Amino acid sequence: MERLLRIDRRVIFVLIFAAVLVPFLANLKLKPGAPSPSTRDVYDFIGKLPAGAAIMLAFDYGPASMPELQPMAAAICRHAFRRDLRVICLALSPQGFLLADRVLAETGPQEGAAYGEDYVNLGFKPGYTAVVLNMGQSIPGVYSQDTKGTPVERLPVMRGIRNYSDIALIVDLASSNTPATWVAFAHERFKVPVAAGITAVMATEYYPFYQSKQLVGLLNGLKGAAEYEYLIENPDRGAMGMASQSIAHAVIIVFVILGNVGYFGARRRRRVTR
Amino acid sequence: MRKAIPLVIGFVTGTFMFVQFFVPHEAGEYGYKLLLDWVQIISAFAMILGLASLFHSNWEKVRRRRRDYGYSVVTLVAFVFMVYVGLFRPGEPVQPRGWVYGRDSQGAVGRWDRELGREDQFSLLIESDQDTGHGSWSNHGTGWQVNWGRVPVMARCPYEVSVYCRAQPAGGPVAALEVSYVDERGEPLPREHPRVEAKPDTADWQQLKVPTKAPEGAAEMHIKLSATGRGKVWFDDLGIRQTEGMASISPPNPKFDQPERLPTIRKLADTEDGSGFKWLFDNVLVPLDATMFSLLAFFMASAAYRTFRARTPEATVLLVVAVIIMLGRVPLGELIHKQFPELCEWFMMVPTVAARRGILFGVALGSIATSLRIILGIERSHLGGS
Repeated sequence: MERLLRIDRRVIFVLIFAAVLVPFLANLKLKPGAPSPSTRDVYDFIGKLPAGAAIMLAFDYGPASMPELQPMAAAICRHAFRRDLRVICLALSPQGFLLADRVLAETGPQEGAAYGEDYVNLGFKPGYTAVVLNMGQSIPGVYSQDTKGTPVERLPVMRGIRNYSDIALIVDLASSNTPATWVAFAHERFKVPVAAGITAVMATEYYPFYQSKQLVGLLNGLKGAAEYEYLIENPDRGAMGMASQSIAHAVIIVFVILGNVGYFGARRRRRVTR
Repeated sequence: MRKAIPLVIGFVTGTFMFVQFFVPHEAGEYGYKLLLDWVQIISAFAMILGLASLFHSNWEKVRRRRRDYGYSVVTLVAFVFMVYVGLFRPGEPVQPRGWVYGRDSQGAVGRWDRELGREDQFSLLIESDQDTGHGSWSNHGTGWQVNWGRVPVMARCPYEVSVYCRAQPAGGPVAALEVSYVDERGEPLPREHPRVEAKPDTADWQQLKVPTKAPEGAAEMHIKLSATGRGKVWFDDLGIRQTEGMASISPPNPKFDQPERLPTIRKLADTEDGSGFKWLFDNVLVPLDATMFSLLAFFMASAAYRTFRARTPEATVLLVVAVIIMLGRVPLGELIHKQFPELCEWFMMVPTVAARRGILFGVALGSIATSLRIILGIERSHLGGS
């Protein structure tokens, strides 16, 4: 029994590595079942917007959170392009706007959307709260040009966009506490609807905002991304990640059970020997 | 004095922001916007300050040969290299001044040819190996280049725009010259764009001419030199003539013989494909960052095995809930029991929200209290010192 308490950590590492890698190599995709209400709320909200409405996508994360948040961003962009919505991307994180480029370069051409007409990447501005508040006065005042240096007044996608009153929804994809900033300053002050896509580890922090309807919906981790992919009938990297996550969780649970069996076995043995 | 001034600034700005939130007066709105602009400017400088501080602290560590200073050397080298690549763009092709290769081009490559020209050795080249390949050069630059290719015009004035072109193979790709206008704000004017195209049938230079008239409200002329089809097309010797009064206006860099001014100073955040900055981001920063974060999965698995033990009733509750959440978050849980996802959602929406909301209230009240202490000058630890 006590051997169960001394499993070499390298064994755990190898099994976790295999659990993550094999589904990717086998291109295994697992459907996450019925979508959570929080994911469906985001999908329904975007689905009800009229064609031509503008949604703002904030890429407030870095490469470390890409596996969870990049599939969300791609799925939302695809959904928006299919519904003829305008997508305005920006970032409060210095690395976010480069990740936005990756998503737009992939989804835009595939969904028949054109840069400057259907979507734009406005880039990064420092200042967090000040940027969010300032856009309530004037979005072109904060972002006078896109990342390519084109003045926003020359971009068809930005026509008629003055401030939050012209934005139908803000979706904050975040790996830090920026959704709270968007809720406090964009939603509460300017009444623009806000949704969030977050890493699973942050989920507990934002359920109170979702429950109080300050967030119209919440995409929670890789599962939220996979659910959204299935809602738009385009299972992709999120669905593939679900298979890896399933097996990795199972491996961890098995090791936790083994650890507890070993622990109780050893405790019992100690009692008997006394 | 060193402490009194920051305290006064804190009191005045804090009180102002507090009052203007509840008093929607014009003066308040103006001051509010002004302060927000200041905050953004200060944030930008704070970033620069942060970078300077990072450089300085690592430099000091290397200079004094402190413990593990080797890591600081790596940090400094990476820092300097990234700044150099971001600002100076080594290896990027130099473009002719005032002319940019179109971002709407597909299947064709644009180059500044410095070996072949009509009367000299300079011309613009568009090359494609596809029948549907299309590319264009224009004087409609963006960013730093926006002012370099400007062609100011007078509204309602007639002009003739001409350019020489040459193709290889002869009779292959189609060359075109197109003219459009924008108003003072840069808005395109909704008029038909005069255009002429030709399929040069010899390897000699052939002139394309477009007669045009600047519409009402026109302030600038945009010229587009494009090519479609498999092969190479060269453009050279651009001319713009005012047909009434026979005056000529000077187009930007008409012989395409002058290089871009300040070619090394570009926007730091230009994300065009092919730039060294983007390459470094995609191929160095992204894999490194992802690798660092991925290591967590291995350590978490190992830590869960070693520490998740049902030693006490509280630990048992934690263990059971953790297993339910882990299974409820993945499709495997639903395969084991279809209630797992619902049970997981209940845990997230009821006990978790209850606990979290309590914490949030505490944090919010604490933030208000701290803010008031700072505004009133009671809390002074942010000023430094004891």
